[in-house]
Amino acid sequence: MDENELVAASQGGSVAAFNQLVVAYQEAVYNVAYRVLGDREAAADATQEAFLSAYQGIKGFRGGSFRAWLFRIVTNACYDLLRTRKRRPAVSLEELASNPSEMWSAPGEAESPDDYVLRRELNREIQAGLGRLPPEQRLAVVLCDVQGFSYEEIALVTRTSVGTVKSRLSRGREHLRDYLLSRRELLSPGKRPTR
Amino acid sequence: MGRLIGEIGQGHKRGQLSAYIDNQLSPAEMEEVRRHLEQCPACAEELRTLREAVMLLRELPSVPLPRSFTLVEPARRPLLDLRWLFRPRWAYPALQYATVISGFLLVVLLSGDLSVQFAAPRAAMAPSPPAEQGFLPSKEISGEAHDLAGPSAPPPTFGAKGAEAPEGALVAPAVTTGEPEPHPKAVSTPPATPPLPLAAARAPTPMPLPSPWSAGMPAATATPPASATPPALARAERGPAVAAPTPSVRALPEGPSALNLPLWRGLELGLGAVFFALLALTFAARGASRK
Repeated sequence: MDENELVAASQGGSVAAFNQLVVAYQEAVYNVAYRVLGDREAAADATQEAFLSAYQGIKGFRGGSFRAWLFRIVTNACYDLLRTRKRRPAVSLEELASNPSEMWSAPGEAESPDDYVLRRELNREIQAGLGRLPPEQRLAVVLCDVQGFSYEEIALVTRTSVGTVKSRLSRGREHLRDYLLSRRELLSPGKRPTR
Repeated sequence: MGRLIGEIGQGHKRGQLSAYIDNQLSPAEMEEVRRHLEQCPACAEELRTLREAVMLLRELPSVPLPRSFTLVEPARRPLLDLRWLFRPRWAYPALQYATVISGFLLVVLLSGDLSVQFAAPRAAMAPSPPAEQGFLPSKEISGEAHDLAGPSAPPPTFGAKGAEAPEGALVAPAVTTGEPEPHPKAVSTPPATPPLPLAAARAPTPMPLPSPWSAGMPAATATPPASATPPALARAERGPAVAAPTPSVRALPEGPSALNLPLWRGLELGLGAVFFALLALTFAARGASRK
């Protein structure tokens, strides 16, 4: 079954069909939630909440891009969690990013120990830089550069115009670039891991 | 701010570099930026670092899933869903009170039944006939039983017949002798139909009799013929008839609660079922209130 048929079956109440959509999108959804929230547990909560809300509201889906519709729900779940965290701050994004066990996987077979260490440091700095962006810019950067969404799709997800997406993306990238430049000049040639 | 004004004044394209990287500018804008970049090392450096940052973002590793997020199919609702019963706050105490009351009623009913069962043999052995007749339907006492047993047991509605008695006394000289005179009906009764003792007179109970009862009836009617027997003798013979060698058959009809037995047992069973159902519901409500 293709995506439209799975959506139609889910609208008919089929949990099995909806679970196929979950399997297809759960990695992307979880990664977006993690990059926006910077916390694994919060990302898992947001992902589960988003899929549950999507299943409950899938009868209201009137066609178009299912991915955009789903990620709009994910975005709302993330914003809700961010608002909750703002009222009850517990752990900062930088603090989470500085925890190696939170973010880093084991070194690859073709990766030297130096490259592995450099990649760990770089990824930590990138996540920390994302955490410093305003939520709207962070979401635009994550959707475009991490998940590969088009400007039009991001506009659908965020319910804004393409011009607004361009603006948010430009400012978000610049801020992140400036942050990374200020952190040991990670963007200078020869500093990137060879992968 | 000063830097931004300076850049605008110099015609820099910093605000368009992000869209330039993604080819999201119109062809004319793309060409314009490209020309500017050839002439402006600052914007070219800006573009290089910006591209580098975008490349780093695109190379970010995918975070592994902590678990699957597939939904679990909801469990089917039970056929008998009683959750609505436990929702009100008063549900649990109300069930408790109802259970206690039904249990009390059940105990009262059972104790009453037991006391009647124990009292039954005594009442059967007691010599006073009114005590026995108190459990009989009025029809049996005033009608058939009296007619079959003879005039020694006058019916309650004997007032009209009592007026005839003196006439009979005038006609029959035996009355003047003080000897018991058979009732006119008893006289007219053929000898083949002997008067039944009291036990047999109770045969027409409102409930259908089981086969042992039916089988026992001939034994009861097999008492010595009393067509010519005086009523006093018939009553005297009732003792041996009760003690006749058919105890299992006679035990049931002789008990005082024999006529009400099915109703009694039905009440006990029904109340018992209600009690246990309320008890189960109370425990279920208790469990629901703890969740």
